[in-house]
Amino acid sequence: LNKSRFYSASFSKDAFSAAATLLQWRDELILAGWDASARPIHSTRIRDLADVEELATKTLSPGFPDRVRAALTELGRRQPKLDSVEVVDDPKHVPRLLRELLVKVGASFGHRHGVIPKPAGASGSDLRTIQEALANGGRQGQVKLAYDGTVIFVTAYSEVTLAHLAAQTLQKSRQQELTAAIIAQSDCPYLEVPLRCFDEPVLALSVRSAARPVLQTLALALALRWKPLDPRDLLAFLVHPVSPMSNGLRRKLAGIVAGSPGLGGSEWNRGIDEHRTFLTQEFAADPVALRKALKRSEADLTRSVNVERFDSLSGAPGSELASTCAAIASWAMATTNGEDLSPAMLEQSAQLASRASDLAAILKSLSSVTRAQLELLLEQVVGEGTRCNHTVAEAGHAGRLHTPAALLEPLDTLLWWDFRGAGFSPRIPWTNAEIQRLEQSGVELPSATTWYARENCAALRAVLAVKKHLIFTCPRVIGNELVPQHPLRNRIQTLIDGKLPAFDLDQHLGDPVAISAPDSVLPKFEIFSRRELPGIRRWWKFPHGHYLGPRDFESFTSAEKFIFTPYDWVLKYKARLRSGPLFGNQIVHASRQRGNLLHRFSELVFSPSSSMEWKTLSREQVCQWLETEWQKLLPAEGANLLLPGNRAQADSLLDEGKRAICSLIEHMRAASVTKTATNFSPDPAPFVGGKLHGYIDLLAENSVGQSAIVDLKYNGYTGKKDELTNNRQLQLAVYGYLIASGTAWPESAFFILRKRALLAQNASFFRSAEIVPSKASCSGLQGCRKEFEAVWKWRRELLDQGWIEFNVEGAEPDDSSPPSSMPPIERWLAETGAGFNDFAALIGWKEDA
Amino acid sequence: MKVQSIAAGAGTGKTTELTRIIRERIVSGNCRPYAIIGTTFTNKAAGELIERVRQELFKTGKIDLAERLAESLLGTVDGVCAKLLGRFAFEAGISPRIGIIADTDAAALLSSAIEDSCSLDELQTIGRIGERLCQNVEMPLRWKVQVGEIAEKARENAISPNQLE
Repeated sequence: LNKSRFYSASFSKDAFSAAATLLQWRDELILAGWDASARPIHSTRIRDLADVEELATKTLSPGFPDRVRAALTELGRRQPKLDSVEVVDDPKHVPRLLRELLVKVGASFGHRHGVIPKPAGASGSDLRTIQEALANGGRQGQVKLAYDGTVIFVTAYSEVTLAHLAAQTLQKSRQQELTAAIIAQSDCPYLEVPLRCFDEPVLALSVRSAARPVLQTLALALALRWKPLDPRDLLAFLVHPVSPMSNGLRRKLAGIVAGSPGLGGSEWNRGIDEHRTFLTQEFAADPVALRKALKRSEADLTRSVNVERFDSLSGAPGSELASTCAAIASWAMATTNGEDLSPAMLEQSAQLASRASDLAAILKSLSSVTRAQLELLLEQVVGEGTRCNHTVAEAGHAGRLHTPAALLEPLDTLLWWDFRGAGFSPRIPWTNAEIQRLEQSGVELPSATTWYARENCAALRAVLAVKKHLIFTCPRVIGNELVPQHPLRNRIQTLIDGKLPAFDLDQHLGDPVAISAPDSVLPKFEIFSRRELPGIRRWWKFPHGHYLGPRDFESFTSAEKFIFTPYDWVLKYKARLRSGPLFGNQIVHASRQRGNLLHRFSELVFSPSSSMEWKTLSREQVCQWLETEWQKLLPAEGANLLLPGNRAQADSLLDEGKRAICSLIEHMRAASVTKTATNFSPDPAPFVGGKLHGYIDLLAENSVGQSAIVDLKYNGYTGKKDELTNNRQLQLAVYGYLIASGTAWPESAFFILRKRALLAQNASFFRSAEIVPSKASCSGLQGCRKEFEAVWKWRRELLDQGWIEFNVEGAEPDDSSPPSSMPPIERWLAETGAGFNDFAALIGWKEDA
Repeated sequence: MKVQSIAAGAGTGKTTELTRIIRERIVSGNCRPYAIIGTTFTNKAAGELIERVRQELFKTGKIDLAERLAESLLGTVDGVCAKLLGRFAFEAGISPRIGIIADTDAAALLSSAIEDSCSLDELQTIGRIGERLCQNVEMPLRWKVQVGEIAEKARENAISPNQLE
């Protein structure tokens, strides 16, 4: 590990990645016949590697080349009894160590090695013409094709479309009793479904993935061991479909973390208490089960969430991380005893248990591990992941080859899946001089020329073995990039005098008459006539309003939708449409979080139980108090602002909060407020649409017993002024109504936190407020509430008749509108929203949705 | 070293000319296919260039050279640099694990780097100046993006941190 080694600088920056690369190089060298010695003629790099090898042999578990070496040693002592072993490949293409092994078991090289098979295609067919041109290297000049469909390059936009064609081709071959195989160098999971559709035996080609939910559990659990805690990691852990935590508790906590990103705050604790209450009720009749459930909840929190965290850069003790791995392994192993698990889940759980144990063993041996190192280790341990083994290959399925080199016998139909130009690029880290010097010591590193020759041989072997149909498939694009062409395609193109026999499946499907398909790949697709989505329309009518009846309770939020965006009310509250987990499981949007945190500031200051004497403290003292509270608030509800790079954002929000709260205090003092309450929930009160309920941000009472409600908004200065001017301050009217006592209604105001503006229609309570008088025919909360109820009745009547208004952008009233499409009070006309609208996007009315 | 510049409008044959030059040099033995470095704006353009040269080489029977073209460093600037750094990671003294940072991660890293190099007082001062200049209305930390843009321009124009200071 001294600094003079060729890898020293890289090793000091990323020891694990450097070691992984050196190990890979070492394995390739050993397989090529390197005996781990270094001679003076060798380069510094080889000499350094020889020193590493000396250490590594004492500490590392044997890899593939070590096992081959061990087998060779064993074969020196005893002779296996094999009838015959024939090697088809050119011996030059076989790594030296494997070649020696093959010699030891009595393999014969030479019957077919190095010889390209004879073209197997029917004489006169395009297939035979191309096979012969390839076999003779194009020495007879360019050839002409009859375009008989015996060789075809098929492309389409989607691999799913190609998979249907592949399945159909395999079916046709089976029906005609032809031999068929598919070359799929990569996994092709798309093929399974169409094979089932065509009632063909499946090949069980499930893709191998490290992103299987079961395997992800390990990474998610380990992510919680780092500080500062990233609430996105916590949320991901809580919402993950597979988890060592009990479902009820984690779902409850997930909702809280999404709204208040953090851990340990009042909301978090409330969630835990609610879950305990739920368990107590659920198991009221069974004290033993209750004790067990409560104990499980405690254990869930202790083991997974309330764990010790470590700095991600300076690292965590390996033993600590190993304990998390061991816990996951133990849980995964326990789940394999579950009776309800599918075979696929059982296998994946067993895989998780095994890999988590492996990682625990590695971590135990390390004194300190950084987050980056752990992620690399995880990657190494999880590797390519697991397959989703819910299917097994069925009897009679077509042959699947991972490489064209494996095609040894002639066959009728060959389908080469994903025929594109990846993989034809060797990565040889050694210079020509190094390779030459290694050769002098008997090391046979394959040169790039050998590598290409081997690939070429493999491709030709497959192509020349086909007797009837050779079909290459490849999508046009992958990830918005054109797919690079396979060199063999380029080569075939140059051998042909004319166009390549290529066929675009999408073009054929778009117009089957104009773009005909060769018989060999004529797809059997059923073309459905297109059904248009309904066009944009302002008013929609149900036969009756049966499904649109009133609800028992309404809040300001739902009442506002009922009045101004009735389709939203119908779809959200009657149809109960909700965003799915992919959208819903996100941390609250930044601007909403800013508002939430400043609301929390206001609660801390003006709550009756607050320790802050806001009436008397100086501005500096208030700010100091807020700064102290901020330090407690952030980990609980704004943990994302504690992450690296967010300090300025957190600081600017604190600054904003201090100024807003100081301003609000000044307004309160000017109004001689003596008592305050926050987040106040009055008893529900009846109204024309059922019962109203809600939470008042801030309720204030002055020295003469007058009360006022204040609704806090983070933004929206202009909008709220507009509401007051038009006397449409519905939110204040709803809250005012809830606490009104007979004819005595409270005063009201909006406080815009960002602007530090207190907006009121008059100065009777808040003397220092910005006065925005009503310009409407009525003024005040009572007038607003009266108009609201009139409009509500109008909307209710329409809904009872089945009429729903979709006042989205571009939906104008037309002949299909109901007779009474205008509200009784013009100022309460629902405006057409120009912003993004989920529902308009969902039904295709939004452009680019 | 001979430097040759080809400047022409779209569709006038620049790629055709480049294809010819590369093919001729490879065929004449003046240039090995794996010793070509070329950058294009898109992977599509790089793919087309490789395929054209490869077909030309196949036509002239240079099958081995055509196949080794896959080893050339033709691609986008990001892709070529990543390949170069990956191949010579030990010589460059960096981790052999090379990846291209996603835009969102890059923004987070920039933000973190800025905060690491500023004191809290400095951050507060910049934030307040930004607010006074109305930067905070829609995007509270717009100034960080601007710092990133300055850093990028400095890198593009080979202006060192000392010169920038």
